[in-house]
Amino acid sequence: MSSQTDYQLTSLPNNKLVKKRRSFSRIVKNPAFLFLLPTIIVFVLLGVYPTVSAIWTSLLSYNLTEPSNVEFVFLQNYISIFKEGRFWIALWHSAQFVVTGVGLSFVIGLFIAMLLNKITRFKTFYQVGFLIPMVISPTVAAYNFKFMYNYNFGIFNSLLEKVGLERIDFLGNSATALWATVVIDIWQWTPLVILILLAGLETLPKEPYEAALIDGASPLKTFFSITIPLLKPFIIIAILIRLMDSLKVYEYIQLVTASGPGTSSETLNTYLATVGFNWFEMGSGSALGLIALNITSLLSLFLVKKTNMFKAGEEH
Amino acid sequence: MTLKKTSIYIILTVCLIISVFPFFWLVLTSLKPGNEVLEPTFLIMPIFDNYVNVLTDAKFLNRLGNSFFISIMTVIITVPIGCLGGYAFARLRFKKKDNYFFMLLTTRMAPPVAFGVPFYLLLSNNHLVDTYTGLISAYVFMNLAFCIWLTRGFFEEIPYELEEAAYMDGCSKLTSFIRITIPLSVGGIITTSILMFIITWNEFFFASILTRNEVATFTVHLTTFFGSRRIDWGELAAASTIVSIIPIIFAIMTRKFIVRGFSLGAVKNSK
Repeated sequence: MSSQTDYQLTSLPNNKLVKKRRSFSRIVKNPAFLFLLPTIIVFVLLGVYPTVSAIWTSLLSYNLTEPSNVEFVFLQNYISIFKEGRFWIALWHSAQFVVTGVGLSFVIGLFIAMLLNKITRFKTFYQVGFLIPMVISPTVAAYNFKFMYNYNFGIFNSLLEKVGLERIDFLGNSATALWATVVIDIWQWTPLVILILLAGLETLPKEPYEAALIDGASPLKTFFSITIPLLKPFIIIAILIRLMDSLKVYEYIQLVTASGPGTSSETLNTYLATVGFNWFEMGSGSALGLIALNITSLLSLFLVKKTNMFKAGEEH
Repeated sequence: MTLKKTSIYIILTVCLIISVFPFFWLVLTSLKPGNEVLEPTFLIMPIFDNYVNVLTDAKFLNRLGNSFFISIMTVIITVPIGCLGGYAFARLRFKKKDNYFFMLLTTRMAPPVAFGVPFYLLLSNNHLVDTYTGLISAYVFMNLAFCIWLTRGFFEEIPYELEEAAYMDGCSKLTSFIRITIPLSVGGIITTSILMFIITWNEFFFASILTRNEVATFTVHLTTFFGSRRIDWGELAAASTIVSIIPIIFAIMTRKFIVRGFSLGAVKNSK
C-alpha cells in the first residue's frame, strides 16, 4: 500500500491511467456486468441514444416536410412552447384528467375492495369479473365508449331519454368531452385498484378489529383509525401505479375526441402527438417530449423515493 | 345469510354489472344484424354476419397475424435479456445498484408519446419504419424494465442456499443461474411473458406511428373503420371482440399473478 503511495507521488497521471484501466477490467470481470450487458446494449441503443439525439433535435427548427431547411435555433423551440397558451391549457387538462381519474378510481376501488373483503362465497367469480376491463386493449375500450357515447344511437343517450332526461352530446360539447374520456380511464383501471387494495385487506391482522369492537368504536372510526393506517402501503402503491398509468393516457383522448371539440380535451400527450405527427415539427416535438418526460419522471420519482417502494434486491 | 350479507352481494353484483356492461354491449353489438346495430335494443336473434365479414377480410387477418408475430417476438427477445438483468438486480453485487434501478423505473413511468419523435427519427434514419425490426425494437425497449422488475422479484423468492450450494460445487454464477434459478422460477417467467404479451398486443401509440401498412397491427387496423365510408359499427364490434378474447383468456389463466404484474411486483399474490 505504501509503495503504491510513493509511486503515486512521483507520477500521478500515469498511475491514474493504470487505475482507470484496472477498475475498467474489474467492471468487465464482474459477473453482474455480463448479466447486465444485453440490458445495457438495449438501453444505450434505444434509450440513451434517442434521448441524446432528442436533446439535439429540440434545438433545431426541423420540419419533416422540408428536410433541406434545418436550422439551429438554440432554445427557440422551448421559448415558443412556454409562451404559447396551448401548452399550458393542455397541461391543465392533463392535471384535471390525472387528478379526477386517479381520485375517483381510488375511492370507488376502495369501496368495492372493502365489500369484496367481507364475502367468501363467489369471491373468485367477482375477482375474475373485475379483471376483464383492465386487460382489454385501450384502443378497443376507446372505440367502444365512442360508440356508447354517440348522440344519436349511443346507449347512454337512449337510457337518458328513457328516464325522461334530455340527450347530451357527450363528445361534441367542450364542457363534457374531457370528462367523458376520464370515465373510460376510470372504467378500465378501477379494477386494478380493487385488486391491489383487496390483496392488502386480506393481509390485515384481526386483533385490532376485535379490540375496536370491544371498545365499542363506530365502524367509521374503525375504518379511519385502523383500516386506513394499516392499509397505507397498499394505498400508496395503488395510487402510484394509477398515477403513472394515467399520465401516459393517449388512446382515450386521441381516438374518442381527437382532442376536440377544438382543443377542449387536449392533454399534454395528445398535443405532443399533434405537434410531432400532424405538423411534423420534429424540433418542437422533441422539445415537448423532453418536457413531458421530465414532468412525469420527476413527479413519479419524487413519489417513489418518498414512499421507498421499489428497492433493489439484497446483495449476496 | 343475514340481511347485511345479502345487501353486500347486491351492491357487488350491481358494481360488477356496471363494470362488465361495456364489454357485454360490445359483444351484443357484434351479434346484431346490420339494421339493428344502431338501435339501443337488446338482441333478439344472434347473427354471425359481422364475424364472417371480419374473418374473411384478408387485411384484418393479416394484421391480426402481425400483432401476434410482433407480440411473440417481443416476448422471445425480451425474456432472456430481462431474466439476466433481473438476476443481476436480485442476486449480484455492483455499485450504485439502487440508482440504476431508478433509471430503469423512468422508462416505465415515461409516457410512450414522449419517445415518439426520437424513436421515429431513429427508425426513419435507418430505414426501419414499417418493418418488424423497428416496431419490435421499440417494444423490447418499452417492456424490458417491466421484465427485469418482475423476474427480479421471482428470483429473490428462491432460497439463496440452493444457489450457494451450487457455488460450493464449483458452478459459476451463470451455470447456477441456468441450472438452478431458471428451472425454479419457470412459473414466474411464464407469467411475466404472458403479461408482456398482453401489454404488447394491446399497444397502440408506437404501432400507429412506426407502421404504415406492411407491419400494421390490429390496433391500427381498428382506426381504419373510421375512414371516409360509413362507419360499420357492427364489424368494428366483431373485430374488437375477437382481439379481446386472447388477453381475457390469458388474464384468467394468470389471475393469481396479474395484480403482482400490474403493480410492478410491489403487491405479492393474494390467494
